Parts: sequence; C-alpha cells; structure tokens
Amino acid sequence: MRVLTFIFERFGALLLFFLLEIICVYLLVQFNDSQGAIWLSSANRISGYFHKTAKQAKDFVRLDEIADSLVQENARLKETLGRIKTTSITQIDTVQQDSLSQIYTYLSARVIKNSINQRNNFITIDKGKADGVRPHTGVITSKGVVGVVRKVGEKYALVMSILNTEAIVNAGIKRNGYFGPLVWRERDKNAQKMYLEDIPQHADVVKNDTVQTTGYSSLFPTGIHIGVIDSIKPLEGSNSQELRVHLLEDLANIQYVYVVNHLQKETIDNLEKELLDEQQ
Amino acid sequence: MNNNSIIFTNVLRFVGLVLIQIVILKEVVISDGFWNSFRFILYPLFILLLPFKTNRLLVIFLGFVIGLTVDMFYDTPGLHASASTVTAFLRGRVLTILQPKGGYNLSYSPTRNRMGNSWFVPYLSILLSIHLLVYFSMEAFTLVYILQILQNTVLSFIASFSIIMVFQIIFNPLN
Repeated sequence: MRVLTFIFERFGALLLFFLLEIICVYLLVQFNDSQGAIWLSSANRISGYFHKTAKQAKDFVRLDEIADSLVQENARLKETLGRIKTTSITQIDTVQQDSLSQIYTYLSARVIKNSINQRNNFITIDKGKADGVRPHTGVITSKGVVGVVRKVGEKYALVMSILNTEAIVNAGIKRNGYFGPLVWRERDKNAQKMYLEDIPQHADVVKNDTVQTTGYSSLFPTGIHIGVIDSIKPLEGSNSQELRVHLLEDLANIQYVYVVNHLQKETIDNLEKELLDEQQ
Repeated sequence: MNNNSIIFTNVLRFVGLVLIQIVILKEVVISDGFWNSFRFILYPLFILLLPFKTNRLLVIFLGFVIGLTVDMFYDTPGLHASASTVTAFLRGRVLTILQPKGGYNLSYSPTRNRMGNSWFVPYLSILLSIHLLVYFSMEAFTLVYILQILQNTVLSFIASFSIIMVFQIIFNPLN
C-alpha cells in the first residue's frame, strides 16, 4: 500500500497526463468516423443553443440581405413551377406514372455555425432528429451543394462541409456528361475553389463550362449547378486534366440550406447491400 | 486573498476567456493563404495564471477541461484539449526552471502584475510556443507538414502573444 502511495505521489501527474492525452487522441481519431461523439460537437444542445443565439444577434443586422436572397429564390421557384405546369398540361398523356412520383423532399434549415478556414470544415444547422434529419443525407442551397449530414442531435445536426479534405462530391460537366470527384484542397485556403478530378484529357472542356451534380449517389438530386470551370491545366504524366471550379455559392456566407431527403434511399441502399452480400 | 475569492476569480476567468475565445477570436481568421496561419489563441492564459499553490494534478485536469470546452465550440474534439493538457503538464516544470532565488510566494498567482515583465514574458513565451506547436502538430496529425506546422506556430505565436499581453496590460490582474 505504501508503495502504491509513493508511486502515485511521485508519478501521479505523469500518469494523469498520459491518461488525458490518450483520451484526447482517441476523441480526435474517433470524431470523423463514429456517430457517437455528438455531445462533444456543436450539434449538442448547449453549444447548439449558444450558437443559435449568437447567430440570431448577428443576423439581425443583415435581415435585408437575407430577405433579398429569399425573395430571389422565391421568384426562381415560381418560374420553375410555371414551367412544370405548362409541360404537364401539354404532355400529360406521355408522362409515365413513375416519373411523376416524388423522389426528394426538402427540409429547410438555418445555418447557425459555419467554418471555412479549418482543415476540415463543418456546418451546424438548427434541425435535428426531431425534424426528420438523418445521417448521410445531402445538404444544398439554391445555388449549389453545401455538404453531407454527419451527426444528428435531437434538435441540431452537424454537416460535413464540401470544404473538407474528407468530403468528395460526385460532379459532372453539364455540356458533355464527363464526371469525376469534386474535391477541396486545403492548401489553397480558398472557400470558393474546388477541383474536378479524373476528367480525361480527350474530354473537350472549355472555360466557363457548368459543373453540376450527377445524381449517381442518392445524396443530391441530379443537375444542381455547383459552379463553373475557371482554369484548365493538363496534368503531366497522367491522362487527366486539372480543372479548377469556381463555386457559385459562397460558403462563407450561407444562411439557409435545404436538407435533401431521398425517399427511395433505403430501397437503393438495400439493393446495394444485397449485391455486396451476394458477392461475398 | 482567501480561498473562496481565489476560486471565484479563476471560475470567472475560465468563463470569460472561453467566451472571448469562441465568440470573438474564433471569427478573427483570414481565410486567405499566408494570413490564415495567424490564429489568436487566448485561453491558455487561464492555465498560466492558476495560483502557485494549485495542486499539480488539478492543474493538468483543468487544462484538459478548458481545452475540451473550447473544442466543443470549434468542433474539434481532442485537439485543443491535447494541446492544453500538455501546457498544463509542463507548467510545473517551467515554473521550476524560472524560479527566482527566493522562491515563489505561494499565496500569489503568476501574473504580470506580481512577477514583472522580465519574468512573465519568458514564462508566457515558453508555454505558449509549446501549446501552439502541439496544437498545430495534432491538427495535421503527421510530421509530413512540418514546415507548415512551424510557420503556423511562429505566426500564431506572434498573434497570440500580442493579444495575451494586451489582456494582461489592460486588466492587469493581481491574482
């Protein structure tokens, strides 16, 4: 017993230090994989509430700007709605029942915390499990893609921003259909530039080509405009080219976002899982 | 100073420094290239200013707690905590190294007001640079980016050192 006391007095600080450091490293490593560590992020109730209050205070001075952007989006949606109405009247007999059924629902949410200058950026939104947000669903705005929901708390959710070295969005070029992963490079430290990779050199790409979502994953609907190509460089020693994409949405400045809910997601996931099981 | 008022001062300091860190300093980041390396890290001041007589184990534990609290708001669980635990652990060693001839007056806290600039500046410099170095190393989690880590550390040191000194001069706390 006396030996134990002695060891503790002599090395207690060192032991405690190592113990706490191990906990830190564990948290650091686990955070990006597990769904469990929600209480340590800004998606928990206390810090969620705090960020929301701070955000409300900040937003108050920008109400005009926010209202403006919402009005603009409304106008755009009305326009689209008008177009849909007219097409459905003229072509009603050729439209199949399948194509009329709804695939996506959208849940609007407010950004209460946002970061663009970390190595891996996250966004916190004020909707959570109680509102029907589920992990691994896409988040968009009217002008582009924002990220993917990673962790869901009761009232808040944490979104992995596309400005994250771990995030990969499948994107393609609208004009000719070539597609590849759209990635962010931390060393650029630029919140409005991303890179479209794996586009072969023979693909005819010109500046200002529109880049959009492909819909090959169930995260995002097809055809959301993400940005335009703003520089093209052939990559030496490979068959692909380096395409820099200028994002239409300035992620530093987003206020409202939509969480995309794919209604058939479970069906698709199950199919893919079955296929995997069969192969094993 | 009786014990209660010392505890009260430190609780208040904990809350105040964390609030300033997460509300103001977290937002003061320029996302553009070189300037992005400047980070203003203020909260380690809490660990530095704990009274001399604080139990060593308690110092380490409080370092861990304040780091984890800041992490909660930065969405980086374990990152700030690992750095501030190291800082808290080494505080005792640094105090021993910098001990003046007569020793410390154990009822004091190591503030600029009590100890003077010629003692406080080296004390702050050593611990702050350790803190930042650990922080940026853990952020990168590999030594491949050693030059980037060193650049971040040096530039953030300039930024953080200035802001901490400004705080010490404005508030000039006795304890």
